[in-house]
Amino acid sequence: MIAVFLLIACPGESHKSEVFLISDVLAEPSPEMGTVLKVTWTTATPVVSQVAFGESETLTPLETEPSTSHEALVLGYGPETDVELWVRAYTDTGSIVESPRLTVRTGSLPLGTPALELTGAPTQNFLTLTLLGAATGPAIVNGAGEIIWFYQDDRGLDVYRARLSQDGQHIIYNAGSVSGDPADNSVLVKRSLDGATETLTPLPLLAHDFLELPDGTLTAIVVEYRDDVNGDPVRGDSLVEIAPDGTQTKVWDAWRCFDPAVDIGTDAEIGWTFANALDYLPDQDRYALSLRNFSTIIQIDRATGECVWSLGSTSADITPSGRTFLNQHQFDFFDEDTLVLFDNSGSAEGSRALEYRLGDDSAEAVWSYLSDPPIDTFVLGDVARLDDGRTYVDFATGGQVDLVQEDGTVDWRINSPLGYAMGFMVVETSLYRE
Amino acid sequence: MTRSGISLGVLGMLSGLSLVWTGCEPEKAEAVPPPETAVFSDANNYVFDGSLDVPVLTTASGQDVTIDWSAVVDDIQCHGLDPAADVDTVGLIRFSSMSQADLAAGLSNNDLDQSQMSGYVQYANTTETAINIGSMSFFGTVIDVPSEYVENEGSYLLLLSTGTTIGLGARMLAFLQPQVASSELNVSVPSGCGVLDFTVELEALTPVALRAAGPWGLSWGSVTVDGQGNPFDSSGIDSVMLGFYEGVTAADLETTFLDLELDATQLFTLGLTGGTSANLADATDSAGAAFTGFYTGGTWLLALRCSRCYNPAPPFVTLVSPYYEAE
Repeated sequence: MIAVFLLIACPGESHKSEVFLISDVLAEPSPEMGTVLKVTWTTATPVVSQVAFGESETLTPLETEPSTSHEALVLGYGPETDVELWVRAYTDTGSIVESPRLTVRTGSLPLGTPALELTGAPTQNFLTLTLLGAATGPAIVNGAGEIIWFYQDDRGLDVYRARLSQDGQHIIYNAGSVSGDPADNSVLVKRSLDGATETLTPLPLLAHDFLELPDGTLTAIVVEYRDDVNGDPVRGDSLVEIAPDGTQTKVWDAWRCFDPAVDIGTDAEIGWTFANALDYLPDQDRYALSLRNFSTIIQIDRATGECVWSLGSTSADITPSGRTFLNQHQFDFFDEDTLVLFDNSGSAEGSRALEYRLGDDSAEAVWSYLSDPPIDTFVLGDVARLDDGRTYVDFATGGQVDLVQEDGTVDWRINSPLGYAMGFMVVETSLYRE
Repeated sequence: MTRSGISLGVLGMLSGLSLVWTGCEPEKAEAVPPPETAVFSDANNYVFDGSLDVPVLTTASGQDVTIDWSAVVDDIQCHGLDPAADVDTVGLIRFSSMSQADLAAGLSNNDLDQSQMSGYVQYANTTETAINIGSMSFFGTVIDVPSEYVENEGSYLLLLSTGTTIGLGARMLAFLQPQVASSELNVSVPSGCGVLDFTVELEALTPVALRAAGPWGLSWGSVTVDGQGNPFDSSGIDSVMLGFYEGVTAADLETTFLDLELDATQLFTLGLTGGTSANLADATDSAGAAFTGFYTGGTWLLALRCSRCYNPAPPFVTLVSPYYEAE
């Protein structure tokens, strides 16, 4: 849909030098991602400007440099939705000038994008996650439980993790396989939010998870094989950093902290450590890594590669008290005293979220949450604690995400239809980076 | 109303169907011609009501049972199937909290959630017609038969599918029922004819009026309910099918619903990339010839199809009532 605006209003004190024309405002769905509206406009003089849209007057990021040619993406809406938008420009004298408002309808999402079922009241948050199964690829879900962004990845690999990039322009996701042998053709994919372009970083043997550091460096879990003393292959894990210039550096491997002859976990048929979830703790410059077959979470000093903290059942410094966890996946070090994690198999009743109160040498289970009815999440799973005390619990292969209060009240729930699992999730309060 | 067949829940197969003309005399219209774009509504849609009579195969509990599907020569739509060549994926899904009856109903109604599943393992088949349960795995995790395939742990649904996309392309299904009292270590999956029972209602719908000579714009943005009474999800509609059935009535089509593609005198299809509109002028037959207009002598049926949907029953099927300009 295209709209052309004409001139403009100049609120406040009229000043001849501040009167300029906003023109050629065009807004239309991106051909490659119909729910993303691409807005372009020009101004008669160089100014910084942005697009405002919706009832809440959400703003796209303000441009950093004055210009006469402008572009922005309007994000956050589902398919076939009317969006009211307008351009807001800032003159060098401090006046704000707005274009007339226009209404543009979003387009459609890729075929096969499933419809989710929402239970509860909508929120203002977004979830960046992945779909697995009948459809596979990165997705964004809005607070109304509606998929608003989805890219069908047809590489024939699985997609476990997707993240909105630090630059606010892309979705980054992994495409790999942890089914049986890891894939040699696994990649990290950076796809623009308008869906038009992608950049590939080949990284063989990718495992479940990766993250992006504040400087744009990507860090991924990569499977590593070494022979044991008998010459038999041992499937361990490593962390590989990919600098913004593309340089790849292995910064850690499991053999630095553990010995396969001494540190023996469970399910040896699928690997030794079987790392399956990765986070970064910026205040301490540490990685936090979940080792499924150890039922243990460790922290790694990024500068030295040393394991400096561990909690769990195998070769861990700290053993959980109260309730323990088994074959866990993602986790959230919410603050220095609080760890929330997704416990896949520690309870016979079903998979659950577990919260631990952390001490110097202790970890006491203080809270847990089971879905009603219970869900057995046999792989993946994630949690995220909010500042208001509520917790998102992602049951992954169970196709359900809950937002729950401390007393277990479910404020918000999404369910996917049979055939559609979910991967890890990231909670976003905005789809824009300032 | 008659029996016909389409599919159900997890399985799938039918791929398309679509318009039918009712076999009435051509509408000579003294009245106003229909608009250039037909805007579909729920009143235009068919009604599909299906049920499954899923075979139950009782086996020993906690044992590495052999599953043999060499006898499956027809799928649940009663279409021919080569058990060695057409079965690409053997899947086993466990539903811990559902009875077989509830599960069969959920499959028929297409209203199952992923959260109701408590486990899934599969086997990528090449040319076999029998495997052991212990050879199945998922995400690298092999099923632990002694603890995960046992009595009283829920319902176990076996799926034989064409293709490798989970949840799509199912051709045959059966319940495996482990029982401590059973010593059966080998089970044979029966063929699929008779598993699916359904009725289709075409005669009661309001046919869509389209000009015989065009234009033939179609719009389905106003449809809210699919043929099974579930919310209509336009995001999955990936093709339009238009069929002409010479000398056939809507009532006839209800009885042969599973064979709409096979029985059509002329069949036109139009692939879509999304959206909620299309133009029949872009539809072509199997030889690539474009649709040139409606004519008399039979029934026109139009369907909106979803090839990636879990349930192969077309979400929308209607009849077309062509409008012929008075001479």
